This record gives sequence, C-alpha cells and structure tokens, in this order.
Amino acid sequence: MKVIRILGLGGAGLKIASYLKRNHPQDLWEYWGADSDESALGSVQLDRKWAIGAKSSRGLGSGGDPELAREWVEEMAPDFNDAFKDVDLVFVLAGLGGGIGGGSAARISRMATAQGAFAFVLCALPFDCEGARRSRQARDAMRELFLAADGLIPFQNQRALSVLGADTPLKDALDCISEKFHEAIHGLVGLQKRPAMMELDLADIRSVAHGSATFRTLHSETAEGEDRPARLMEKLKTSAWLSSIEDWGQIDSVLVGIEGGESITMREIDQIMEGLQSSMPKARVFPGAHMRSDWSEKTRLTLLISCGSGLPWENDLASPAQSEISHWIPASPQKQPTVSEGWARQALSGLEASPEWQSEDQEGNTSNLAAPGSSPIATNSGSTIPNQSVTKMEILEQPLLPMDIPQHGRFEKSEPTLRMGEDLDIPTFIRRRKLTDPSIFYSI
Amino acid sequence: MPRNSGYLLGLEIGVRYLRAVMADLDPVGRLRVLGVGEEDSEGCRKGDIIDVPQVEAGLRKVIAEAEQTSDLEARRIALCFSGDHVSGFTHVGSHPVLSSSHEITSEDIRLVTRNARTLSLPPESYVAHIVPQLFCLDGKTQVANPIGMLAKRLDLATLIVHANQHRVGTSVHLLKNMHLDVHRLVFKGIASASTVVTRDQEELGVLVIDLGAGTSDFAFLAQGKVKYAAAVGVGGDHVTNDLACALKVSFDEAEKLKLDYGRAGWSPSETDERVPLEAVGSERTVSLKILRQVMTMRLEETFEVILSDLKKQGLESLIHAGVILCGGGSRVPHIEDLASSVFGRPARVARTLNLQGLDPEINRPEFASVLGSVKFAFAHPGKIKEGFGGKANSSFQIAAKWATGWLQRLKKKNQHDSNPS
Repeated sequence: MKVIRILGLGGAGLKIASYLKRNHPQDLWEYWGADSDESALGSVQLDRKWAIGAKSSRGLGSGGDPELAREWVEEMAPDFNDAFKDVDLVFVLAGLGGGIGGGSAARISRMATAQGAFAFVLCALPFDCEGARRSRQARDAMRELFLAADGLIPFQNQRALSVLGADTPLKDALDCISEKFHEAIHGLVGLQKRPAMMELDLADIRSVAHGSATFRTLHSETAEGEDRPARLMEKLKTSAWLSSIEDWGQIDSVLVGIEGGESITMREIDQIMEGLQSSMPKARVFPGAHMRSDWSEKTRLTLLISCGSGLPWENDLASPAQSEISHWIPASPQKQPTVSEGWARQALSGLEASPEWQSEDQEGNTSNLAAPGSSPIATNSGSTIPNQSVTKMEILEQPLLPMDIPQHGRFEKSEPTLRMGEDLDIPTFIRRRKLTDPSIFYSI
Repeated sequence: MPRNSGYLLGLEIGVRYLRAVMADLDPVGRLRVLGVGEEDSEGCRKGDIIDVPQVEAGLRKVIAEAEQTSDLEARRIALCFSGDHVSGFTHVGSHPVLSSSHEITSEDIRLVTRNARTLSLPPESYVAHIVPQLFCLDGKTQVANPIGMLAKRLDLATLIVHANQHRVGTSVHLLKNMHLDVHRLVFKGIASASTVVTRDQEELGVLVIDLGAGTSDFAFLAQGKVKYAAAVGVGGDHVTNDLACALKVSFDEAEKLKLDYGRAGWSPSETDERVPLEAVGSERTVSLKILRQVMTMRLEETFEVILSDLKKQGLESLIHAGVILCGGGSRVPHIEDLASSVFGRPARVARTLNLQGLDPEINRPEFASVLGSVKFAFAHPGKIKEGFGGKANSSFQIAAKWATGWLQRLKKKNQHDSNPS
C-alpha cells in the first residue's frame, strides 16, 4: 500500500486540502498544510500544519511576494525533508498567483523528490480578473514547476467560469474547482491501483504529466447500461471541460484508465481503445484496465491528456477558439540522459527553466531529442541535493543537448548578446517555444 | 564664417538611421535647433560599426544635410554612442577630512571626487560618465552638498558608466579622420533621458528606455540624478529578424510587415487576419496573429531583461514616476501597454521638452537621443581626452594610403590584362 500525502500550500492550497479532508476523507491518507498566515492555518482542520517563515512573517502572509516565500521555505527545509521520508506519493496543491503557493511549490516538490517521493503538483491558475501581475507570477511559478515536479496538472480557474457560467455563486464555483482537484487526485490514484488487468504505474503517469504542456487535464466519464463504449466516446466529445481541445489529433500523449465490472469484455476495451486511437492518431497511448467487483453494468474511463509545449497562456484556454494547440513535445523522457550530457546542456543554456528541444523527422513523427528534467544539483538551492541513501526514482535527470542548431539569422556572425543565461540573438519564439501555431516550426 | 560659434553638432550613428542635429542655446538656456540631417545607415550591427567605409559615406551625407539646413559648418560634435558593452555600476570613494575643525571644504570635495574616480577597470574599458550621487558623512548622514558641514570622513558614491574603449574609439577615430572634433561622448540612454524627462519625474524616479534598432538603452533617474544606466544589445532589428525567421520572409519584407502591421500585444480570441506579401510574384500570405505574437514576445522579453537588470541594482521599486519610452521602437502601437504590464507602472511614449525652433519633422521620439546628446554636452561642459580614439591620419597619410591602394589596383589590373584567361 502506498503512503499518500496531500499537501496544501498557501491560502488556496489550504482551502482545497481541507475541502478534500472534509468531503472525501480517506483513512490512510494524511492531509497536510503549510502557509505563513497563521489565522488561515488556524481556521482549517488538517492532520499536520506548518507555519512557513514563522519568525519573519509575524504570522501574516507573504504579501504576494514569491521571493519571500522561497526564502522562508528554504529555512524550513529540514522539517519538510523529515516529513517526506517514507512517503511514496505527495500531491502538492497550490494556487499559483500568490506568494506562498507560487513561491514554495517548486522548492517543496524538489524536497519531496529528493527524499524519494513522487511529487505531483495540482495547481490553480488565477482568474483573469486577478490581474496581469498575478498571471505573470503564476507563469514564472509554472516554469519552475515543470522542471521540479514529477507531474503537473495546471487548472485554469477561468476555465471553470466559462464552463459553469458567469452567474454561478462564488462558493459553488470554488467548490467545483476543489471538486476537480478531488477528481484528479482520485483519478491518478485509481489509475495505478493494483492488482489490475492492464497495469499502469507512476512512471507511466510521469511520462504524460511531466514537463510543460499548453493543455493538460485529467478527465473521467462513466457510462452504464447498453453500448457503453459508444456512449463514453460521445460523452468525451461533448464534455464542456474538454471543449477547448478543438482538434483531438493534436494530443501528444494520453493515459487511459478503464474500470469495469466483472462482466467487462475484451471487445469493450478494444472498442474504447480503438475509438480513442482513431480520434488522436498522433498520441502516445498508455492503456490500463482494472476490474471493480462491486460494479456490474458500469464502465468508467479516466483520461490524462497532455498536448503542446510551453505554458498555458492565461487567455489561451479561456477562449474557446484554441484551435492551434501545438502538437510539439510530448514531454516524456524516452531515455534517461546521462549526467555529462546534462551538464553540457546546462552549460550551454545556463537555464533553470530551459525549454524542451524537439525535432520532427520527415515522416512527421515527433521524436524527443531531449527530455525536460529537474536538475537538483544545478539549481542553486542547497536543499535540493538528493539524499543518496533514499532514491526510489532517478532524480538526477537532466535534459539532453539540443540537436537543432539555433538560428541567429542576421546576427549570425556578430558577438552574442548573453543575458540571464540566454543568447538573445536567437529569436525569442524559438527559445520559448510558445507559439500556438506549430506550422512555423516545420523547417526550423 | 559661422555667424555663431556656440553651436554643436549632435550626431548619432544608429543601426538603421544616422541622425545629425545642429543646435545651440538661446539666451534663456533652451536648446535651439538650427539644422537637421537624417540618412539611412549601413554598416552597423547592434550599435557597433562593422563596416567603416560604408558608415563614413553615410556620415558625410548626413552631416552635409545638417550643414545645409543650418548654414553652419560642423566642427564640434556631441556624439551619442551605444552598444551591448555599455554598462554601469556604483563606486564609492572616501576621503578623510584632515583639517583640525573637520569642516568640509571644496578641496575635500575635489579629493573625494578624485578618489571616487580612481577605480580598477579592465584596460580596454572607457569610462564615459561619472555621475556623483550622494555624499555620505562619517558613513551615516547623506547630504547633497556637504560644504561647510563637519565630519571626519567623507564618502561619495558615483555611478560609473563604462564602455569598450575600442568600439567607442572607432567612431571617434572615424570622425577625426573626417576632420571633425568629437567634443563630448554621451551614452544614448542618458542622452535620451536628458530631453524627455521633466524635473518632477527626475526627482520622483523615472525609467527612460530608448528602443533603438540595434540596442535598447535605458537610464534610471531619481533625486535629480542618473542613478543607473546600461544598454541591452537587443533592438528593433531583433524584432525584424524574429519575424523573418518566423514568417519565412526576407529581412526587408519582415521590416516592412513590422512597420505596416506590427503591434505590441495580441489576444488569442482575436480573429486571425492574413495579409499578402508584397514581393513580386508571391502569392503567399502571412498571419497577423503570428506576426504580433512573435513581436510581442521579443519586446516583452526586452523589457523583462531591463527589469531584471534594475532588480539586480535594487531600483525596480523606486520607479515612482513610471516609464518613458523613446526611440524608433516606441512607435510600435500599444507598446506603452506592454511596458506598463511588465514594469507594473504607467508607461508612455516620450515627448521632447524645452526645445526651440523644433521642426515637426524632428519632434519624434527617435530624435530624443541625438537632441539629448547636444543638450547634455551644453549642460556638462568639458571635453573628452585629447588622445582618445587615436590620432587622426594626416593629409599626407591619407594621400599615401590612397596612392598605395591605387598602385595595387593598377598592378592587379595589369596582371589581369596580361592574363586574359
């Protein structure tokens, strides 16, 4: 049995963690919380609580300053390291627009992975109305998280607004968001439940959920009665939560979990898989299936979908017309890069948040030249040096050297302009890989 | 015979344009523009000269233009320079007050200023500006003018703006060879700031960014002084280059698209428009959405680089009066919105101030730097070191060089004629 912990960071994280504990308690799980605001900590019922920056914050919040939060979390590294010992799976919940959530999530994920735990981050991105500054902070935090966490599912609050409608009462909207977190956590735990007929493990989840993505979500649909495969497909296609995926062909990778009663047949699984394969031909599919003895005429389909690279631009997914999801970069390491290659890449880019590098061969198959990865040593925090005695997973994973030659165009022969570890003469859109239309990358 | 001897020629060797302004001071002390020249520039990249003869030809044209419009002969020049190699830092010099009463005299000020100027920089560095900031008495009280005050030790913090000696020297040398005297060298960021900032803004704290074609130069002013100034080797050419790469068009086409359709900021919900390319025989169209996206990314990044530089200096929280944009880049529509979203402060495009005789043709944000260099030179009299930029070639040397070249060409031609194969 896996040791699972839920850790809420910052105001939003605490609220969601306490919501989960209140409404969907699990006996074997522990619900933890950490914040600098003592009154917020006092108002929630959790199994274990940490006051971040207790000395410096005077019991107040960080005032929306992620730098401050980063500092405070570093001070508490020994406490967190102790807590993460013997933990298998940590779900870190945070709202990224503020100080504590945005500033500490990546550091804490690194601490967890260094202790050998599998750190999965579920984060809420600010509503559009919260302003550009919070969106910017959220974006910076996401860049860091893509590298630090084993898996990341960003959740767009604005998306909930467009699905639920603008007239929904605030409490219902927030509960709905918390409910989506619950769905994601239980979905992820359920996906790798043993024993199973077709097994999925944490490494499979990591392949899909690790690294950057312009769109990533976990979604479940249930069907009962006759002709379940067709009905499931129909439900998927019409789901409001997935409506931002206009072209299913652009999905890079998908993890499929099928749960059914004892009567589930091979034919049923086959039909579901075929339906998915035909609608997303380019995707790498990880299938899994397991049986629920208490179900009879019921099938549940859970999908973890990832497409595109880069960051979910704050408005991207909020607008329904997101037709141009890039099919670049399924962020999944196919081979473990060696340390020396990683260092070379690090030396070349000097970046913590380096973009993934990809190429497309002539047949149109995407192939990973390099995988994104966390680089605990190369990053500057002292607490991220992996604990050598406990390494359940490969932590020291670094990206490979990029194979495509950076384009300088007009500035080919001039002295490079280096700032913040980047060569500014290379077009920004190539370095950041953020365009929503992938076609322009074809010949680069 | 010049009708007036107190004039200067402000000159900017830009990456895209060469600009010259002939100006003097009116009796009230305002800058009076007498003549203007503007020419396309060739032979520069990222603020540095890469082809001297090409630049020289352009300079001859632009100076002639300014001379014609003003009917004055260019002699003394205030040259504004830039490049990625320009950067600034704060240096503190100290001096013990030795007099028995510990009263600070002008001699002490002179000595502490000298100490603050004494610093060890790499031999190829050229110190362009030394801006005294605040005096500090006994390491505690900060005062603007300490004369007559009592203290044991006097410290002076100065902003040192330095550049690569040879790169700046190249342009000075080139002008010397054209028998022009470079009177004053002004860093472009500081030059622009001196024309576009009001007194209030200067006191409160204002960031001036000059978005040029080759470089983006910036200066931060507060308490009436330049607190920090530096350059980033990224400019409008980079925007054009990004567009050329993204849209697969030539550099010139990209430049045209940028000028015609460019905008800072885009929204994913806007409907995509496609515009045809103007190249002959081309039926291609390009997406305006991508154009704007690519452009926004580059401009945003440029601002982010500047912001991170200011953060390193601990100045970003002091920009109380907002951000002022000038240079060609400030003509991009909605650039002020993008700047204010990055800096979190109101931003606006500059207007030049306190000028007389200003022809509407030059009342443009692009002229801020060249006008500023003249203004700065008038405000801070003094002259650059005699030997800087090397000695000018004498007429005899020039004649000898030309003759050698001519002989070589003749020799080659003869060889060619004798071997028609």
